[in-house]
Formats: sequence, C-alpha cells, structure tokens
Amino acid sequence: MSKKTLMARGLFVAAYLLLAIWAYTTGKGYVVFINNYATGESVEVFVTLDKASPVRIRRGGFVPLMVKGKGTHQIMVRREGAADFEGAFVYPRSAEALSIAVAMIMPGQELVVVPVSAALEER
Amino acid sequence: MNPLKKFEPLKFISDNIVTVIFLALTIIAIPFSRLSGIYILSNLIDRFARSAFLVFALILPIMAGMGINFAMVLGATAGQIGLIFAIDYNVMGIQGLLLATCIGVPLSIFLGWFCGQVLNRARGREMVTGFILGYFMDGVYQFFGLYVMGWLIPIRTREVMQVTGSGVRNTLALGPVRGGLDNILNLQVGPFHLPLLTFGVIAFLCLFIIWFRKTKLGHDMRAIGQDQGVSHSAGIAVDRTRIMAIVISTILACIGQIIYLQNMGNMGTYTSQRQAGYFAAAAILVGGATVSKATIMNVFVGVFLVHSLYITMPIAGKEIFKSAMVGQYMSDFINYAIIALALVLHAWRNKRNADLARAGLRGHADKDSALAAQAGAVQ
Amino acid sequence: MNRIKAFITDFGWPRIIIAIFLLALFISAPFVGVKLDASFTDVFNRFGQNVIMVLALVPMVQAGCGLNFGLPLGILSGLLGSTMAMQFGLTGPMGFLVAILITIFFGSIFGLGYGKLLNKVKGEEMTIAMYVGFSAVMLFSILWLLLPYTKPDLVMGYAGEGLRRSISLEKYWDKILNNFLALRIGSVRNLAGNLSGGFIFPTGLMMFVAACVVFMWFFLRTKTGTAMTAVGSNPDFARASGVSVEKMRTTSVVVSTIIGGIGILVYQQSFGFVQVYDAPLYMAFPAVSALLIGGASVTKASMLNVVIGTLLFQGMLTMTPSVINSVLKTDMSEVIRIIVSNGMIIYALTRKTKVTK
Repeated sequence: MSKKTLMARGLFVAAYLLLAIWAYTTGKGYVVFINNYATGESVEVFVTLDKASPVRIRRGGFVPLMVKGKGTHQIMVRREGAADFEGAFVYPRSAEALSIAVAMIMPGQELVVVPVSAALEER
Repeated sequence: MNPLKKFEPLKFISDNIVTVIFLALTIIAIPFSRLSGIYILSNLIDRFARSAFLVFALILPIMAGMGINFAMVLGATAGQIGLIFAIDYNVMGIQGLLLATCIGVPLSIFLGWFCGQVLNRARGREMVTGFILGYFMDGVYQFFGLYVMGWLIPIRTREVMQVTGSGVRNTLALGPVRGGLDNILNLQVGPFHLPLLTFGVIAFLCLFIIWFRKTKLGHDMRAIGQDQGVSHSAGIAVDRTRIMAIVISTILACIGQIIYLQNMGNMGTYTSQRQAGYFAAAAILVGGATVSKATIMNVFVGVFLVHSLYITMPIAGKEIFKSAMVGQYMSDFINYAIIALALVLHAWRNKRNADLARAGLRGHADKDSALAAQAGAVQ
Repeated sequence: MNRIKAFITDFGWPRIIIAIFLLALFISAPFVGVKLDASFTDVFNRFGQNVIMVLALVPMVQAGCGLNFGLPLGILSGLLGSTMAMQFGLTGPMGFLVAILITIFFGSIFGLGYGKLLNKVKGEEMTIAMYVGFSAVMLFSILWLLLPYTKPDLVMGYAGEGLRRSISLEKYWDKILNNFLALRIGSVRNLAGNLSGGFIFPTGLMMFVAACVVFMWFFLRTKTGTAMTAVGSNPDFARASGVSVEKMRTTSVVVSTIIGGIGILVYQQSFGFVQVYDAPLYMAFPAVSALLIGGASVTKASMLNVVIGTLLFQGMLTMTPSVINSVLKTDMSEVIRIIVSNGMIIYALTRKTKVTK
C-alpha cells in the first residue's frame, strides 16, 4: 500500500471519528424538569422547548423534558388568562440536570434556572 | 436492443405479470376499503419516504447475479444496534441518527463481508442461504441484545433496559430521534406532508446507483451477473466483486433501516429487521424486477404498489369478510405468495429458455426461436 | 491417526461439537439438580414427537429436490385431518385413524400440486419451497377462520366462527400413542395415589416411529425408491435408463408431504394440542436442522441420519433449558436453539458445493 492511499485512509477514518464525536457532543439530550407547583392561582400550562411540540403540565405537576445539547434554548409558556411567555435560558456546562419552575416565570423578568444534582440520582 | 421492437400489449402483460396481478388486486381492494384518495395518497407519500431506501439495498446483488439478497436483514440489524446505542446515550435528532449510522456502518461492513464469504461458498443457492443467514443472525443479535447488553456493555438509560434489569427491551421507543430526518425540511402542501430532506437522500441514492453502474466495479458486477466463468477468464476478481456487492447492499440496508425506524418512532428490537427483509423482497419483485434484473424504476413502482395494498387490504378484507383477522392474514398471504409467484415465474422462464436453447443446439427446433430464447435468458 | 481424521471430516465438526455438548449437558445435569430420569423421559417424548417430520424430508433429499422447506404443506394436510376428524366427533383410536386417512387424502392432493410446481422450477427449489410453504400457511389461516367448523370445543368462544388458536385434544386422542403400553421405571406413588416421577418409556410412540422408519427404509429399496435415488444422484443417467425424472420427483414430494402430515398428527397427540393459524410457519426449520445434524447433506440422507439427528437436536433442546438455566439463571436456550439450528443449515448449504465441485 502506497503512502498516499494510507494517508487518504487515515484521513477518512479521522473524519469518520470526528463526525461521530460531533454527533455525540452536539446531539446529546439533557433533562430539564419543569414544574408547575401550585402558588396562588396557578393553572395548567403548556410548555414548548425549542422546536418540540407543546407539553401540558397540570396544576401541581412536573414533567422531565429533553433538550438537545447544552447552551441556549428557547422556551415558550402558554397559560390561560395570561400572555404567552417567550424567552431563552442557558443550560450551564456544569449542570447534569436543570429545574425550571413555571411559577417563577414572569413576563419581562429573567428566567430562573436551578441546576439539580439530586434529580439525576432519581432518574 | 431491437429498434424495430413494437409495443405488444400481451407480451408486456406477460413480461410484467407479477406487477399486473398486484395492480389488479390493489384496484379491487381500494373501493372495498372505502378510504379516500387523499388519505391513501398522503399515506403513500409518508410510507414511500420511509421505506424506499431499504428496497434500493437489493439492486446491487441482483446486478451481480446473486438473486434477492435476503441477508439484507444483517444490515438492518446493524442499523438497529446503532439506534440502540444512540437512544441509550440519549443523542437526539439528526445527530442521533448520524451516530447510529456511524456505529451501524462499520458493523454492516463486517457483517456484509462475512455474508459474502458464506454466499461465495454457496454458489447457486445464494437466496436460500442468505435467508437462513438472516435467521442465524437473529440468534446472534438476540444473544447480543439480551445478554451482552447490560452485562459486558452497560445500559445507561432505564427506558432501554428490560424490566428484569438486563438486556434491551422488546420494543424500544425512539422518541429522541423520531422524525430526526423527516422533520428537518418539511413542506406542507394542502393535506400532504413532504419530507424534502428524506426525498433528497433517496434522490442522492438513485444518482449514486446510476453512477455506480458506470464505474469499473459496476461493470464488473454486471459482467459477473451474466457469466461468472467468462468474467473470471477476463480477469475480474469474481469472489471479491461479489463480496463488494453484498457489503454495499448491507450498508444500504443499515442506513435504510435507520431511516425507516426514525419515521416509525418505535422499533421491535428483535423483530423489525425481519420485516424489513420481507418487505423489501416483496416490493422489488412486485415492481417488476426479477431475480436477475432490477432497475430504479422497479423500486419506485414496487414501493408504491406494495404500500397501496398494505394500506387498503386489511380494511378491505375486514369489510368483505367481516373479520379484521382475515384482512391481516390476507396481506401476509399476498406478501408471501407474490414472492413465491415471482420466483416461480422466473425459474420457470429460465428453464423454458434453457430447454429451448438446448433443443435449438440439437437442431430439432426452429433455430430463430431458440436464439430469441437465448437472448431473453441473457437479458 | 489418518482414520480418525477421515472419520472427523466425514462426520463433520459441528456434529461432533453438538454431540460433545449434549454429553456434557447429561453429565453435568445431576450436579446442578436436574433429574436425569425426567430428562430422559422428555428426550424420548420429544424425539418421538418430532422424528416423523424429520423422516418426511428424506424422500425429497434422495430424489434431488433438496431440503423440503415446504414441509408446512404436509403439516397443513395433517391439521385438516385432525380438525376434520374432531369435527366429525370421532374420538380415541378411531379418531386418530380417520385423521390419518384424511391427512393421506389431502397430503396426496397437496403433494401432487406442489410436486408439479417444483418440477417446473428445478434449481431454485429451496427458496421457492420456503415461500410456497409460507403462503400456504397464510392462506390456510384465512381458511381456518372461514371454513364451516361448528363443534364448540373447536371454534372460538363468543363468535362461534373460526378455529381456536390451539385446540385441546384431551377429549379426543391425547397421548394415544405415548400412553399405549408405556413402561414406568422407578416411579413412586404420591399422596393422591397417582404414579409420579421416574422414567417413562413411551412404548406405543416408539413402536409407531419404528414402523414409519422401517416403512421408509423398505420404500427406498422398492423399485420406485431406487429409481428415486437414481434420479437424485444422476438425473441424466436415470433418464437414459428409462426412468421418468419428473414422475419420480413428484412421487418423492407426495410421499414427503403425506409423511409430514402424519408427523404433525403424532406431534399433536404427544403435545396435547392442535395448533393452527401461523403455528406451522417455521416448523420446517427444526426438522431440517435435525436431519442435517444427523449427518445428512443436501443430496443424501439415511434413516440413521434421521434417528441420530433428531436425538441430538431434541436432546439438546430438552437439556439446554434445564441445565443452562439452573447454572446461569437465565433462559438462553432459545438463543442457542436459533444459532445451532440455523448454523447447521448454513453449514450444510455451504459444504455441499465444495464436495461436488
């Protein structure tokens, strides 16, 4: 086998591995717990993360949702009798799981995200 | 070949009898099913995008004279193994599908190479050997999925593991990668969803196959499909080329199965691969391919016809016989029977042509007809 | 040394490995708490239960039609036989006998059509046989739903239409051969006064099996049988000496189909249930593997191959679950069965070409 073909093959294998690593790192799903624990006049809400379809969270309930990769993600919260909330949050590099309380989401204010470590054990 | 060849309806029908029978069955089934044209069409588009890629996997081995590659389930299995890992590592969307492909393709190359070695030792009975090889692989795959996974290779995600705590579940929800390819470029035209990227991938594959036929390897394959002995004396590495045909077929089956499953959204871990094999063989034969000749057109026609029947027959059977089970069995029966019919017709034509050719050589029969038969056999 | 080598090549490595594996299973059985007498009873029962379906493959192999993956056709005639005899309300030996007669009737018809078909497609028999078998099973699945069966213990409960998935033979001829003159060795009477445990030799079953094997042995040595073998080993020579190749091949298929039908009747009476719908779909495969494990090739099979092969294969199927499960605490027998049986078929399909060419 000539040096050239050997190099071509090496490059091919390297590109292949890079593709796999890229797919793994950018595509990995991370969990976001979104709770709708009752505070006052809390009602059921519909939450949309990135381009996923809306998920219903009943009053007092919580759902684990997945986002693709760490970094910035869009969130939209729709509830009856209130304006839709649209915002973004950053998934911290250090976090293994994230918790967002719908009750803490107020229009015009920054979103509060809480990194969870204990939640991971539960899953 | 003959420029003076006129279109003869009767000859056309007898040459494409399998397709014609299937078309007739579908036309009968549609009114009984009472499904609307729009429903059938939108379903057809969805199913075409889902499964056309799989059927293309069968073209190359047919070209190389190895018959229907029933061992394509090996590739489908490799794709499923890739998907299991993608789900277990929780990689979402198109990245998940790419990761599954990255894991599945090297596996397919190995399995295809192994399969090619076996088939080279089973000359003349490639089809039955490939079929059994698929079953054999089922056993190896079950061993891997039920015992190796969770023992040598740890399972991270609870949704992947069986309730007993070891091995991969019998049905796996592919939520994270569902629609990973279909939803990227999705066009909505009236009631129809058009997954443009999936169509793009299929179109690219068509171009690949057209290009491949013109390469040295493609020419070699066709030469081997005509006559192995002559090809060998012409200096073609027959065994190696046959293995290449199977390896490429296996890789295509792997990718095809991944595309199929991302559309379905869940997979029968230990059963889906087998259905892929049954479906692809039926589709390409219904499309008018024979054991020795297949074109891209055959794939398109076959996929559309088979799916029209899959959509309408269970409901039509239920309406006619007042029993849902009859409709289901009817679909299965037609699926198997059409493969049997296509194989029988092909073998029968081959035998008739061989007999005619032999008679012609002996000088008993009309020489022209014998030559025509030979030409038919070569074609 | 050379003789041992020749013997091993002749006998084949897979067969030796399976035989050693089976021996190891039997030796280790007592140490892991598996009762040997019960195991032997099981092995003999399952041997008798399956051996006739393996025997059914022999004529077609001898006539050069390859391995009969279309065995489900014979099985379907057997299913017709037993369900019709039950529908007529026949029980006991009379019922079993009538079931056999009906099976022979349908088996001849199916075999004739199937044989004629296979004659038209020489060279591709095995793949086509497989798909003909599959489609026949599915066609009959529709028929089981539509045929006018009326007996309450045959048809599905509430609708009264279509056969049940599995029909109990308890009131008909359950274990009629197994229990005939059965010998009990080392049984003990339990508190209820019934015999239990110990080794049970199914004399009637074994006698029936022996009769079938001897019948086949004689059949292959009659004028028809030798002509059939001649067709299989050298068709041109056979044609030159005035034997009709087509006719002999058809005969072999008919005999194979009938014996296959009787095989499933024997299987049913031992198993206790008639299984319809897609149950026969894959029944050809274990039979084929058993024959090949016994040392047959795609073109040659003997009575000895049938008996040894079925004993080894069924022995393995019986012993693996009980022994392996008590060692590993998981049920690996299904996986082992799939790998061994299909691996054996592949071995035979790939080996033959090397020998001839």
